[in-house]
Amino acid sequence: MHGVANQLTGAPNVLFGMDPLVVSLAIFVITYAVIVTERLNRAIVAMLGAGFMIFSGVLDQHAAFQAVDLNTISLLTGMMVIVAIAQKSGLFQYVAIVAAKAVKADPWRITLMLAVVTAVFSALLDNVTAVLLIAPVAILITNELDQKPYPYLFSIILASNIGGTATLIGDPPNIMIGSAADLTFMDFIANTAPVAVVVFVVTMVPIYFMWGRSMRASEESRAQVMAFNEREAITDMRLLKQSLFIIALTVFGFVAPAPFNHEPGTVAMFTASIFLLLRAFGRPMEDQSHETHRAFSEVEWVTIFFFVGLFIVVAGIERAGVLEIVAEEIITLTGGDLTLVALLILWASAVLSTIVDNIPFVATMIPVINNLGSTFSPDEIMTLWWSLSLGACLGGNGSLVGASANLVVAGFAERAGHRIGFVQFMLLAFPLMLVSIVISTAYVYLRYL
Amino acid sequence: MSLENLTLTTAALRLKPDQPLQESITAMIAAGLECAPVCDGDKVVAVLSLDDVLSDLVPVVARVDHGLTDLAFAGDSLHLLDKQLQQRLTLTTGVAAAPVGPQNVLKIDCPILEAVFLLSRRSPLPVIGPDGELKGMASSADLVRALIKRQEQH
Repeated sequence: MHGVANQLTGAPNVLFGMDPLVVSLAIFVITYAVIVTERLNRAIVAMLGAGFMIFSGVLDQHAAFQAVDLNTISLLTGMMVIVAIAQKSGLFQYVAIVAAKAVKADPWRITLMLAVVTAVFSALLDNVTAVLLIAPVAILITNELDQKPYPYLFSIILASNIGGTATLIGDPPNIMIGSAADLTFMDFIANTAPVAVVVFVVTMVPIYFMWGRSMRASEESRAQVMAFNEREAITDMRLLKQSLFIIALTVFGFVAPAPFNHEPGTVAMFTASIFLLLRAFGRPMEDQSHETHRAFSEVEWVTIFFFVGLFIVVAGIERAGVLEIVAEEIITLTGGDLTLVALLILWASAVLSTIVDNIPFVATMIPVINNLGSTFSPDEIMTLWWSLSLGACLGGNGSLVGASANLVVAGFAERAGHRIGFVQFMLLAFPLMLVSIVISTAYVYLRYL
Repeated sequence: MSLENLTLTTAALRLKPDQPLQESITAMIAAGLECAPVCDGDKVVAVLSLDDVLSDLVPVVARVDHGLTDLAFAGDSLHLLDKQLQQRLTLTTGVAAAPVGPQNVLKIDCPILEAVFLLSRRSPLPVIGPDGELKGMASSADLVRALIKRQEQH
């Protein structure tokens, strides 16, 4: 998306001389509507939408390829490869068990610790992986403690989205925003992490009053959890050490000063390659191929192609001038008042991210904010990026469909015999999400406006 | 060549669907059986295997997709196993046993290659006729014996 607006110039040559604005908008609306219905795989829909943008003549292939933000794609793919290899080490289960034992297997403190662990992992890895690794351990612990798993899973879901808000790589919207606005890992640490910490603390308070204060476990069952041997969770010590080294190297790459600073996509791809090399080193060719093939096969290609398709669909409406009109309408509606624009973006992105996937929304909003650059100064535009990031990431907590991690935990819990109801989840999650947006509003207002 | 050409073992035990699970398991262990058909009259309606009984004791989080792949860290967890077994033993055999399906029964007209394939994964298995009636039991030993005998004859 970065710089796409400048590259996609020239009038589109649309089939049968149709109006490019109407054609691109129709393709965009139909694509997004089908994605929202969740009746078809979202990657298929986005790729088809991208195809229609090209075949209708709104974009040519060259413009479509230029629209794909390779920094975002590289960052996502590189991190997915790193996670695919590292998760086999047992590192994440190890940390979860240590956390549970550190609080003497007290049910409420375990809830809190698992939420903290999930938030930290979600900040450093992708949310879906973090919850997929923590939720099974959480359910086993609740089985041992004779506790209902719901409060634990509820906290894990919310923590993953809050943790993801804190960093550049924590949540896909941040990856896209960071790439589009040339924001660094440290920019996010300085701007979204503080509010994420406050939101996390405030979110855990009602959870304590709702469930935590009445959680009780027998001495016998707590002793069972205390008997867990975290060392047994580590399946491969060499891999564990390599994983820690690569994760540290990747984070260093994100925060490194010149001359080591590079785009996040380059850093993630490079450290993923080093990780693959470490795994292959000294092994027979057949094992190398097997290990490399396995790591690549675990990349979530559906997500990657979903992004590719979306970038092209959004570039279509951008080239036809639709997003320029949207930007002008925002200015008209708010009278060009930065406070109103920032709060509009924050609240609209939060509410919409509760209802629909936040990725398509952010993909659309990025060029809209870029278009607002003619009205606002670069510093003011920065406020809008943080508003979009906070709204889109925290909005994911509003309902079960708000973020992929929510659906993944709900799906896993159901398979494990603990169904999480849509309404049951939303009754508490939606008000908590609104509280987090109120906090974000105060933060944006006090810090940037 | 199909299972029809084989001499099947007579089923040493026929369990009833309303029989308590504990009673069925005790009878199977006493008869030295790993697997027994659950019959409604002459018809096989389910199959009870000790493997399934054991697998039901594994925490669900380790039995589902993306679940735990290793439970070594959890220690003996006898508390969990006891609780799970206690719950299972309150069931009747018909509820606890796995319903008849291609994985746990063989049809009498099953070609021998398919029988080799299925019995290599789980043995013994009940053999049923066209109307689901019990014809006997087939085991890996029955099949290997029949195949060796065939070699010797040729």
